[in-house]
Amino acid sequence: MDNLDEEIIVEFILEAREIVDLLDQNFVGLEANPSDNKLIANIFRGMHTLKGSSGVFAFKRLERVAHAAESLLSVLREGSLQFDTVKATILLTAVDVIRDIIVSIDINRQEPIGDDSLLIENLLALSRGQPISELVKSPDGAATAGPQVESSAADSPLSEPEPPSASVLLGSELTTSSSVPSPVLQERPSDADEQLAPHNGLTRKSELASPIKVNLEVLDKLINVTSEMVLARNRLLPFTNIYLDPSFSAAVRNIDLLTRELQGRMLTTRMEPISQVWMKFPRLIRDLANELGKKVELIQEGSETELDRTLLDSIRDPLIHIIRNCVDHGIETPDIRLARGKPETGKVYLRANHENGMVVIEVADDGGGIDFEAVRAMAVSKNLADEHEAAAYTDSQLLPFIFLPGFSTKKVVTKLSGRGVGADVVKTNISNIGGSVEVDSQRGRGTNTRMKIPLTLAIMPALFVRCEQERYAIPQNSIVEMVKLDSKRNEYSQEDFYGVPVFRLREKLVPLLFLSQQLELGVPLPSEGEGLNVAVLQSYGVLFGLVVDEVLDIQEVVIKSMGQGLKTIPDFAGATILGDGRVALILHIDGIATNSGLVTKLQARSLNPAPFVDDRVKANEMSILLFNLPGLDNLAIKLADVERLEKISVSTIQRSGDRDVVKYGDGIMPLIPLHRFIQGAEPISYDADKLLPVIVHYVNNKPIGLVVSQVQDIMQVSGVLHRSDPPQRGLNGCVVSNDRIINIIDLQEIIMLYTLPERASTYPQTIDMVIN
Amino acid sequence: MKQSAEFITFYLGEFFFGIIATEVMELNRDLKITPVPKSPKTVRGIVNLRGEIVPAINMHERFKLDTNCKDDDSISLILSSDGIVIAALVDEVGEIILLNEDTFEPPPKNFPQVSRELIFGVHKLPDKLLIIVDSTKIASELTQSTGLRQLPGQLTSLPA
Repeated sequence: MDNLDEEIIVEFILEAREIVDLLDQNFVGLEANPSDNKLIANIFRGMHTLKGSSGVFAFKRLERVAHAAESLLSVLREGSLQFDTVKATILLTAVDVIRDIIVSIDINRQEPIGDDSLLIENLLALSRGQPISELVKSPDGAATAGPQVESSAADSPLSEPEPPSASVLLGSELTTSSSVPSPVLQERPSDADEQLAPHNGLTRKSELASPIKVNLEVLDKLINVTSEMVLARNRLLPFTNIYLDPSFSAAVRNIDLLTRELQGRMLTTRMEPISQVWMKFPRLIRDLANELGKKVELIQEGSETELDRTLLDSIRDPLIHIIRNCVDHGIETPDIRLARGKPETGKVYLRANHENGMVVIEVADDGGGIDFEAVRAMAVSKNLADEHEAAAYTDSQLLPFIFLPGFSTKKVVTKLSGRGVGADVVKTNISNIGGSVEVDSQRGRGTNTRMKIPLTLAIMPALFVRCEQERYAIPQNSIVEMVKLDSKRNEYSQEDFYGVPVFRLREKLVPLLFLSQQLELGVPLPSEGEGLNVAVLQSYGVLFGLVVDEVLDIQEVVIKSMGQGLKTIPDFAGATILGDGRVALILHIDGIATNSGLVTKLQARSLNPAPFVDDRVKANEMSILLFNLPGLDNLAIKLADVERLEKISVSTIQRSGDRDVVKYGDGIMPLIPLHRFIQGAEPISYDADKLLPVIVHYVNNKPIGLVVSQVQDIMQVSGVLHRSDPPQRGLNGCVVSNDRIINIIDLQEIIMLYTLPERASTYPQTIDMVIN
Repeated sequence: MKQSAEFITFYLGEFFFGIIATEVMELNRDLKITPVPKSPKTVRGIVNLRGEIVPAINMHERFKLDTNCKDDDSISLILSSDGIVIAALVDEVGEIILLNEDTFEPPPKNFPQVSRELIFGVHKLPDKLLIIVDSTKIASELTQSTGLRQLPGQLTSLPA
């Protein structure tokens, strides 16, 4: 095939896809704001361009549909007819047909066979102000492309199949479908057409955005060379201390700066804004909501957040799944919402932002929350818990069940969700790319799904540890915390849990693995009584401690494949090159956990959402830490939320903006004056030479300090939480212990109020948009 | 074997080996080897070859010789065959020799039977035997599936 010819077609498809995506967005925007003439004009222009370019390539079907749609749009643009839902639906159907045609052109280089006469008739009827003859079913009824294309492809002689291209179109949709090898060429535009094409509006847009094709391999090679360049620079730098010639130092400094810039820019070549994926969601939500008779508003924040494009592809399906769930099962129908005292229109929030070198994507809704009773019933019916146990589970204990394979509580399988693909698939997909998923749901208030995704697969922060002579990297996203166990202080005693040594971490029993043993290094295990360095890690929901010889530092690492034959070793995720040019292995935590047999051993019991609870602690009990605030006794926080207790001298407190902070370890810890967020508490006095008791809690691996007036005791109480009614600010509810009523603070609400200081004075309507 | 070819020669213990020169990309004396626990015995570790991670093959082990390679100052012959790059660790590198088919013979009797598939044969030189290595076979252990299952979530799609 002629290269130029192919290039023009590819460009056409690229542009057409862009236009179609934009049309989707604009239509949904227009529905919200039907009088927006600018949007109508935009849509009209897009459709016009499509019609024009399809004419050039003699894509007759595309041209006819685009033309009819354009006719309707031109009437709308003139303002002689009003935009409404019927018109929107018909126009969107047209967009769907156009999209299918373009996909087919992309695969087969020809239009699919299909009949659009009804659609065209309806479009034209509407443009004349007449009622439509029959409501066209959208969008599936219109999609006539699939099977016919295949049959026609089978009949036609193959001519010069296009080799599957390894390259990626930067700045465009990655067309997964293009790998389908059925390239059939029948009607090709004549030479004259090809010559004309670049001048007929096709290249206009691409001149502005100027995306260019770069082979991914070339890009990777460049990134590789850049990393090497950085290492070479590192070796060069020390010489400036030996040779003190100023012009030499200046030259080295220059190389240093340039290398840094080069490195930064190279890494951005792989990055794309998340809006690439989000673009489709307004349309998805609109269609879903219309079909289900619900009113849903989508609120997007942080669509400019960038991440590696290979990751973008991997989060698309999980996100679609979660959003469908939000609209399908989360948001209630308008009448139910009104009955529950909520606004008629439900809200779906889509948020993305960078946090600690990770991208955090949240999908939240203000719907009915997870049907916990259905989860409970399902857990029993699937023999995951006996009736007795299940009845005692709290909502948060029930949550982990939804991530178990095949666990779906949907009563009715709807068209768009509930086809047996559940939260477990989302979780698997996300953890495959090194991310994690958390779900928080409150009855009647909504569900918040939070995904943490590494910025890029190529670079990530990792903790370096030493085991024998070698350094190993542990990906930071699997590290929960680092603990130094000192047997003298009784922090560590090797106990036995199903044949695995365990240690006690606060109230939990955590199994221990010895890295040297896992890697079969053939060295004796540390004898009992020796101090141990333990990295507390999480894998498949199982918490375990990995014993290493020494904890070194945290570094950003470039992950490289270990190459043929070695990547099958389950203990390693890859390798990385250190600053001195040596190679260090990156541990694959899931692999180590699985390989050790720990996961199998514990997952059998992890179906019980609290697998490590001490025998003395009944499943329906919880540990709490009692504390006081001035004017309020008997307050408590769940012990699981307490990381450490500290005494902080008032004189070390500093101000950062309007917040109190203290230096804590290597970082800064904000101090939350708890009394401000709990109803009925009086201010704590900050006398200059006083030591304030502070409860340290970690949010997203960052410490925050809760300032209280006195810490009292740790106690076991019944897990039955009596919700406060009406809700009390800052309090979750209370538990009863020996006739004593203890108030459990609502940590999530407090943190949320604290992080939204401007709104702190008002009690929020819904509190499911928690920061945690 | 062609009529005549150039061979790069090297030593492993008492044995004298030759490899077709075009298959050797370079010689490298100071590659730092990082051992890979649980890897096949023949893999001494991995090295950084200008940003690429390359397995370092213990040639003594690969040929099942009784001897073992030196701890520190092994020399790496960087071989490339079938798109796979490996660093073959040898004791010492000799000169480059031009040979033709006249001196070619089947492998010697004292050569380990199990390793015969790794060699083409020998060239009888005036004072010793030169064992001709089939370089494509050196990496074969790595390219063949080792039977370990691939875990999900391993970053296999990353650039090498």
